[in-house]
Amino acid sequence: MSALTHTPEGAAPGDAPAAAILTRREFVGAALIVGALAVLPKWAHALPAGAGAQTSAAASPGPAPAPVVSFHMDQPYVDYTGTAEPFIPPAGAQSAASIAALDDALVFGTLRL
Amino acid sequence: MTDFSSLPAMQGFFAPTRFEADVYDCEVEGRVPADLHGAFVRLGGDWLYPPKDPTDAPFSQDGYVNMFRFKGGRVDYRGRWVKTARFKADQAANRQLFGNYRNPFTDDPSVKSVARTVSNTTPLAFAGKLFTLKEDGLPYEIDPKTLDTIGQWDFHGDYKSETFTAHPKLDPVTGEMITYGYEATGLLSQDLFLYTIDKTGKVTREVRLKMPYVSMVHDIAVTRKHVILPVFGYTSNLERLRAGKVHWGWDDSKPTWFGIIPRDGEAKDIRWFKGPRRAIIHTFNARSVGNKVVFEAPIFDGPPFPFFPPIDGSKWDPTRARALIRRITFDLESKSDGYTEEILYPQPVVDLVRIDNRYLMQKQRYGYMGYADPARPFNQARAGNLQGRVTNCYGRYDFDTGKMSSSFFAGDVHSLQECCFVPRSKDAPEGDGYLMGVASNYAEMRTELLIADAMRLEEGAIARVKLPFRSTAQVHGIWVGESEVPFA
Repeated sequence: MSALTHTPEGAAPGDAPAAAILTRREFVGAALIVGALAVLPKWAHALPAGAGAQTSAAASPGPAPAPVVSFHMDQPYVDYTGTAEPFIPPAGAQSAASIAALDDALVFGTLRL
Repeated sequence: MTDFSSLPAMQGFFAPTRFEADVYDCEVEGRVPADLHGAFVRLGGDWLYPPKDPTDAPFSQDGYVNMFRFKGGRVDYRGRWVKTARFKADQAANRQLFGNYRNPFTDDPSVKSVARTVSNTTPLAFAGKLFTLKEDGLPYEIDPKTLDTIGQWDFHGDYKSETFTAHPKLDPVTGEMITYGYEATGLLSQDLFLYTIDKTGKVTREVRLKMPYVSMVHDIAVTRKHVILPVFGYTSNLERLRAGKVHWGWDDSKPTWFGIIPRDGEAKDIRWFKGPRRAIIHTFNARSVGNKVVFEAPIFDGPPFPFFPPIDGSKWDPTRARALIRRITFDLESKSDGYTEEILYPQPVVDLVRIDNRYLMQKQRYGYMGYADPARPFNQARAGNLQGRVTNCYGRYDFDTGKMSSSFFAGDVHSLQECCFVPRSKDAPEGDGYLMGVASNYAEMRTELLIADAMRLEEGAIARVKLPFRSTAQVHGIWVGESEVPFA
């Protein structure tokens, strides 16, 4: 059991920003980006020194994130940042099979972003 | 033409079901306890027509009320749409006329004067009637035998707020209902009207309050002496509604406020306490102890819903969308407007929490809730990659020991919805009874009602009532005893 006493002006320890968690999609995305030396600002700090200088692509924006169907509190939802862990139903199973059939282009094309 | 095929979150197990159903003498594995007489009544949503905007929140789904009716060891199932004014308007037009969640600016002009509520959140049995509730409109009365929709109910015209709540509190001692409506005088108003309604359904008290800012006051807590009103960072304004967005966005800069008012007090008697950002969607209970008010709830550090995103454009952070069981203590003698918060249990739980309702407004020992136990088996080949993201267990949290003292595992292809505690008898000790709730069986594409002995959750289900289809997702469900409403 832990206790915090909140005062109106006081910042509680629990207020500190949560540590960033690298999702699988972020990891894959980062690997691809690093591989192509297409450096997005988000990942620039993770590159070796000088890597940014090797490519002029650093100034150009990366591809827009594709929405991901994910799952939260027993309900699917569309994550527009593309960073959530995607919901992947079992291959060949009837459970949510039609979600599996959707590719990013289809999802991206049907949503008004 | 009705077409959901382009909506990726509405496919497969999560596709709208869109039918009304009667199943007589349901298939049961195990034995239904013969002492269960009444009904487990569930309320949730389903899409009659696809949302106008695919980004709309699932909370805009049309209300769907259903019940598992228990009598003599047999269970029947019945499901019906809540035929709201909005449902009827859409049905007449053969299309979705209403726009984003609680945003009338996105509606078809033809429905400007039609009540927008979809009444899809919580069933309520009170004063011999059955209702469906949602916080953006008045209750709908439902025929408890047929589940047909009778119409909206305003407590003989004495309930003046334009809105109600999904979480009124029933006083187990007096039979009174303590209830409220926020945005009581219209869209985006900071007014909250607080009511006491006696056990016959007559309004006996109204207090009109101003909130610190427009916020989602989804649930409250009540003690024998006080009412606690949480206000937190889900907020709204005219600008975002005119821009066509869903009603709520999360504002990280908003402090959490708790208003505490004596049950017999006036508006001038409310006292406000202030703390760091939190989200309080549901509550366990509260009690007055001398000059202190003790409030217990599953509380989030940040916004729990991905479809009500931060207003600053930052991405929704699932690591802050974890509810921890906490106790907040307010000292009414203190001159400070701060309070004390304790984390009672460090593991996240689903915030759809319940207690034995006979202990509302006084100290309870047990709380019941779902949680995800990643150590339990999950059959990914049959149910997809949801390991760790399904609610595979119900737990009984012991507030006296601080431990999850008992747990129930639903199965390796299942995810549980909110549970409900049913006392074994009127005079049974706290915790002696049944825990029931619905599970989604992802492998077999159907819904099961699971019933366990609440004192022996580890032993698993004593009965599985198996529906031959997917029932609509529940928001909340309640047990309604045989004598509470006229079932026959």
